[in-house]
Amino acid sequence: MPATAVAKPENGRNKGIFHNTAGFSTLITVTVLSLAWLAGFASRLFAVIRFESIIHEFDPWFNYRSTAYMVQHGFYNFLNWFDERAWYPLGRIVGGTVYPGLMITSGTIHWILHALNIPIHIRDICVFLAPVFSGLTAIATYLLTSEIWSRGAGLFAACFIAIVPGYSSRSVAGSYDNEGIAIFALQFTYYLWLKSVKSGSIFWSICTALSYFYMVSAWGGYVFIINLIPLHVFVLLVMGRFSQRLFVSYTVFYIIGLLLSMQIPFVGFQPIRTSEHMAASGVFALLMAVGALKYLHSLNPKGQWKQLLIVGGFLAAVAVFLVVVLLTYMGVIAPWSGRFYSLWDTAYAKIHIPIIASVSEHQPTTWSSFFFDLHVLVCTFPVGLWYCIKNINDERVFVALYALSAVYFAGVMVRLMLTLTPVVCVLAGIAFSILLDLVLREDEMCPPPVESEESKSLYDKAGKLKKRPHETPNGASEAGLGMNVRSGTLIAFMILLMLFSVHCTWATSNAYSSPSIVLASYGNDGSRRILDDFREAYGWLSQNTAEDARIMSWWDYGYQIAGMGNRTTLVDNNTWNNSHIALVGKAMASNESAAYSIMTALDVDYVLVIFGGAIGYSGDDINKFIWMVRIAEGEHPKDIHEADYFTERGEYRVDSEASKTMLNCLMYKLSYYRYDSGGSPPGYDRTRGALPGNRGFKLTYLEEAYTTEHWLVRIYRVKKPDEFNRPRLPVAKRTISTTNSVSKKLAIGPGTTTSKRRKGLLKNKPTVVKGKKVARLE
Amino acid sequence: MKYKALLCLVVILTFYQGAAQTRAKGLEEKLQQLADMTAKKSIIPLNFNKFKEYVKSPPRDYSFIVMFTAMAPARRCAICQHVYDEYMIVANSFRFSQAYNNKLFFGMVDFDEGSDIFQMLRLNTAPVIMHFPAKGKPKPADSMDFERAGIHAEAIAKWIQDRTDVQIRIFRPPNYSGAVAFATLFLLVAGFLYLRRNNLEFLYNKQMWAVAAVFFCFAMVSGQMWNQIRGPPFFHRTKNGPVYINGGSHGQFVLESYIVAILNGAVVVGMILMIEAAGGVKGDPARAQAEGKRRRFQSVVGLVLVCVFFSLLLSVFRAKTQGYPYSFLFK
Amino acid sequence: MKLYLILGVFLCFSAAKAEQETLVLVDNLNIRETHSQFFKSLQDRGYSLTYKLADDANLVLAKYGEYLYKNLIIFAPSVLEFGGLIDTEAITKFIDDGGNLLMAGNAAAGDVYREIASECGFEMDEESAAVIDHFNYDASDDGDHTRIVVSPKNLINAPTIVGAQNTHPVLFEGTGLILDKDNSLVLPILTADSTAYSYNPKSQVKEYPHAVGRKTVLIAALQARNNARIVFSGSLFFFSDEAFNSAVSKVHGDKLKAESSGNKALAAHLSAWAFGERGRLRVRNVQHQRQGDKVSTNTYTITDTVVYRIEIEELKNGKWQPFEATDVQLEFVRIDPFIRTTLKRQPSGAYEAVFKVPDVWGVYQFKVDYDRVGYTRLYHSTQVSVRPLQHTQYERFIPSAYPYYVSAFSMMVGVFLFSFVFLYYKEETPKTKSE
Repeated sequence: MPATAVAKPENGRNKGIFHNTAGFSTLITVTVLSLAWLAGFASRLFAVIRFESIIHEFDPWFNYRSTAYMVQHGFYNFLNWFDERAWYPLGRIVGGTVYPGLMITSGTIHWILHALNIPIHIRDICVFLAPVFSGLTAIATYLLTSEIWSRGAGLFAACFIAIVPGYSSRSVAGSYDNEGIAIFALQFTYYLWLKSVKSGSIFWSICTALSYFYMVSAWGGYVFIINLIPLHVFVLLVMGRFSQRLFVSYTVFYIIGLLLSMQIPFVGFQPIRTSEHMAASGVFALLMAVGALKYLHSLNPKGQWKQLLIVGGFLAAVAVFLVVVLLTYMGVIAPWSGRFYSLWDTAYAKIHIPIIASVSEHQPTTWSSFFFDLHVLVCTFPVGLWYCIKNINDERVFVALYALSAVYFAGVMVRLMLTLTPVVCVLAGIAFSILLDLVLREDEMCPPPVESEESKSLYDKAGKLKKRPHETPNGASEAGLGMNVRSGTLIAFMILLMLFSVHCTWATSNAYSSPSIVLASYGNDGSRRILDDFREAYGWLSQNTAEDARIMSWWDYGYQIAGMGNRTTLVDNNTWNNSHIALVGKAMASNESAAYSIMTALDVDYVLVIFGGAIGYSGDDINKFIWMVRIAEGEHPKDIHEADYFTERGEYRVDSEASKTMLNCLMYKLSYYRYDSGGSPPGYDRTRGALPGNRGFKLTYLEEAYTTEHWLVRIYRVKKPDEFNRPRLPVAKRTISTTNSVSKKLAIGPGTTTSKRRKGLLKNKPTVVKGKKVARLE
Repeated sequence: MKYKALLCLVVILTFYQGAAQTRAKGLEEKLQQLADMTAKKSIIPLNFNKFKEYVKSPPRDYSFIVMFTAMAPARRCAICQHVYDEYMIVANSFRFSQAYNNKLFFGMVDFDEGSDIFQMLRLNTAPVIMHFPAKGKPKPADSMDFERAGIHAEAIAKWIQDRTDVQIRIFRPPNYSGAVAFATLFLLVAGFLYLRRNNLEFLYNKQMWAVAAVFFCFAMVSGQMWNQIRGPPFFHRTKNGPVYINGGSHGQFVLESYIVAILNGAVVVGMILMIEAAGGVKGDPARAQAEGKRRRFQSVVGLVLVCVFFSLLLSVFRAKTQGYPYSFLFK
Repeated sequence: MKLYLILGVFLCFSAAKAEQETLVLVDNLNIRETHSQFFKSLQDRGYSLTYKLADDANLVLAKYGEYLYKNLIIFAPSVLEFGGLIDTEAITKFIDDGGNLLMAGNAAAGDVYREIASECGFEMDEESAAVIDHFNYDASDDGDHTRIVVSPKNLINAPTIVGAQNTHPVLFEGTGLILDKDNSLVLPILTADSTAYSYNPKSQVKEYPHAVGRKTVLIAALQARNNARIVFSGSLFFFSDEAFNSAVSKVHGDKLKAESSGNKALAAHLSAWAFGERGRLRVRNVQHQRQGDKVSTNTYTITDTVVYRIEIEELKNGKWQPFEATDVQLEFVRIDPFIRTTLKRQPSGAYEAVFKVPDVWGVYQFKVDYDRVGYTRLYHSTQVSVRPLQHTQYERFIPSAYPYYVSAFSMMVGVFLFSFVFLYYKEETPKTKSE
């Protein structure tokens, strides 16, 4: 049992530290944590200061909308909310398809504040929720780390996570999304879990279950918890670290957590029906088996029982595994869903689920984005991992597993960088704490490293160097590192930490603080131009279209149209129905008349497209178009062929080289209809850097309704069938040729013909008139 | 095999009795020969005059898929082999499927047999898969585009279905290689453990586990997963010397990721050195007794490692990220 | 759907005021005399006719955006270009705004006629071409066999348009019309016999005629999507007093004889239909609710039973009366119709359907789309949303779950008892041991 051997001095030291000057260290701790909270909060306000207090890009708009709905109509109506404005005509059961934790949290805050007669609009609560929770996350991280290593390390970790870009990327003011609160729940659950494993008390494990319940209600990422904790237990079993504490804490947590998690409507019966959750129950069964064997073993602790223990445990594991596999084959348990499966088989989504592969944040992660999000932590957290494994104990097994799994997932998907960041902060905090702890400690008798804690924290916060004088008197010692080395090290690491903090500020302010619905462009003289086309367009929709008008757009903009324009949308950002999205994609990808039949079948009133050609906005629909084609092809392989939209040489272009299908599809026409802006020559597409190949065309079935200032958003009205009143025969189709007078008049223009009152012509006019005229002449 | 040829023969005869007068005599023979060859080998190897006879010259009411490749090892065409395997899968799964008829044949031209065919079609690359439609000349779209569609048998089948409306269900010969490898690995580990059963202490060797874990972290953090998914080039050759660092922050080269892993590793090693020099995690008195010089030296080395390599890392990152203002030691 | 209601209201309003402004364009005023009976019949039916020369320099259809006339009659074959503000565009606009048009030409009709015809989806044969039938021409024919006799069997089978009983043969003299086969809105009211063709009677046949046999339509009608009606006759003579009065006697074939032609009756019917006296439907009232409740709602829960009731009215000689039909259908549509049922007629005159909402939630539409030849298109759709069960609407105690309830509660009791025993039984044991 090496772990216990290691664990002893740990606990011993911690005790030694914190009994002496508990009050002082507590004061320091509180100060540092509150400062961390403040710094975290402040560093997330760039968006609000630059632009305004506004909800950011896509999903937050839905969260905001449903939060507002809940605040207005109450919780139960929210739970039963059937939103007929989304996914027309399918509709969406919002209550059953969201993780309500976010809405409930901000709704509760709103309720409390109003109970205290602090009138504040729900939008502001939503905007500032994530920054506030970042402080809580810092505290949770502190607790977690001090469980694993020491309070000093905890302070480091708290300060790191307060400002690290990998986390602030999802929690800046205005990005009102599940992750904002979920990371807090994640860390806190882990803290409580470690607490319960250490203490083995039912109380802590029930707390864990409750916190897990909050996590489940907040974010789909709870699956990470419900797989990581069983993994922890399993590894502990394999390492022969079974204990009553483990048994109690896991069984209690599992049962309570299972029951609680099934209370969320969206989760429902998944915890017992899907493979993602089977690890937990399998480990539960295994733990039971091992517990039983232990009990048998305890009956008479003889030699041969040891083999029985090992073999029995092994057999139990195999049996559990086989049972799960069998159930999966029998269809009792649903197999891995695509999103999870694509984490293991990394090529899966690319082949089978274009709609997942099309999302940019599902791409794998390059090293530079690791570095961008974590900076110095990325190359120091292995040190923490190293020492955690070197002197292992139960909770350090956990953090090691956490680190390894999270780093794998982060490598597969950019988005999961979010789950990596906390553990990296924890481990890096440990690493820094170890080093500075040693460097600041005297060589002779160990003084209470409380000061080192304090100094560390101080250094870390503001880099105040007034701690070093303390060292100087008794710093000079032959045996240890000399004063110079210490101070050199200190200075070097101060510089590293400062670099880290400036990097964090820079990254947060430059990369993560733009509310993507208001664009800012900078002129050569540094002057800033605000492009507010999105809100202009949505405002137009809400003001000038019928209450129940149905807007067709690509799914990215569904939530915004619903949130800002308050109109019915066909598809939106929870992409639960691939075939419906494929239908919209097909409409966009097919020519006008084919699209019109689809649109009439879906009762579309308006079509909204995003066109960035005039201002060189690269995220517009033409650039996304190829994904629409792919998704449509997946559902309608007969009608849509991806190859048709490329040139002969397989290039994707929009100029005169482009393929016929491309030049005549609806998306192309709607983007370039009467487009004459974009600099010289007029009609030049800045995004693609090309002159559109098909220009000056007319639209038959649609008419332009609105185009925003910078051509960014274009809205078209779909004509109703009764606007094609008469089945007129076009000149081409006529069998009998006429001197086509109508077209002549059209050429002149109606104004000229109708304005002047002219005499008509009759063929065989009675000659009387002529005669009269002649008479008058003479 | 024999009876298959017969069957085809019967099919052909029954099919063409009515039309025999109108059609040219050559067609039946050609079809029959082709069917026989297909029965022998699902991909018909073609040389120049065969190519002219079956593919180029009328009468022809069947469409022909021909792969132009260079299989000879001298050609050192790595991809050709893969393409050939996939192509073979397609041809087989067409031949043994119900949809098998003599409207579609698979052929292959190796550069070393039919270089003049390459000249005739003005092909200067291999491999190329072309479709010769039953009537009319091959259009540009009749030569498959590997860049976009990829070289998977499914892709080829889909392309064939686009060109000639023949639906081919790809039937891959199941490959147990993965399972076998796994089983053997498992057996090896088990055997090893069994041999070492008297002292399993090495499993408790934390050093080993720690090293493994840290290396895994390096691999992931340096974006090996990205390499594995995206398959970037090892490094980029330009006219003015090779480029090891991808300019954009959204891409990277394999070598680049190795460099980054090494830099990270150096920083970590440096830090560990310092910590060990300063007495390690558990400040046991034995270490404290050790003379200070070595420890000072060690920690100075560690410090230098950390600073230098971290600032190198920073400068590489800065080179990739446009407008990144900060740097340390090096530009 | 709103549009149709509004239209219906507007129609009934316009029907209420008895006399309808009608503009008659003629190419010479003595058409008033030659066609007096037709105009008379119109005036008797309460139309106020305004006669204008087609080339009158101050012709206007609309003033200040208001149309002066509801109907337009054009009896001016020889017009080359209308006077005033009227031209093909103005007329088509008039149609698109819901005006009705009755138009009659003859062999000499000019290109304006063709323009208007092809704006309405059919074509008039080229100039100086006339319908010729060497087998059924009238005795009064002048040798070209252009005054043909058409038996009432060639009339379209639509009583609303051509009236119930047409026994008398019809006289016709003029050009044929050609219908664009692939549009469903144009109706061939009267077609020629299979022996007829349309060509210039003066020249002999060189190339294949445009219209041959039954394809030569003599009178065509169009009901546009906005329910504007156009009747286009190839022959002006058809409406003339001469044609009205003259006896019909076919020369060849079966001796088809009648002391008076059927033109008068048919013309009356046609004009009545064209000017919207007949065959007009409107939705008076629609209501739908759950079976049992009184008030109409627009959200239903799945598997509700819904009662849908619609009242349809037809304009019968100036008054709106309940419409009788047996083939009115209701569809309950979400992209595809989930339910399609025939509405049953209640004694009250309303049509009613009772059905169960499908077990699929979503946004549905009640659609009544009644489109029959001769009647205005009746289309009405109401959008309702069908929502899933609320969290309170599921059944609370499932019988099959009672074992679980029992086990749960028994477990609680058991644990309680066990703890009780566990706590208090302990003392006894050492005592017994000691003794």
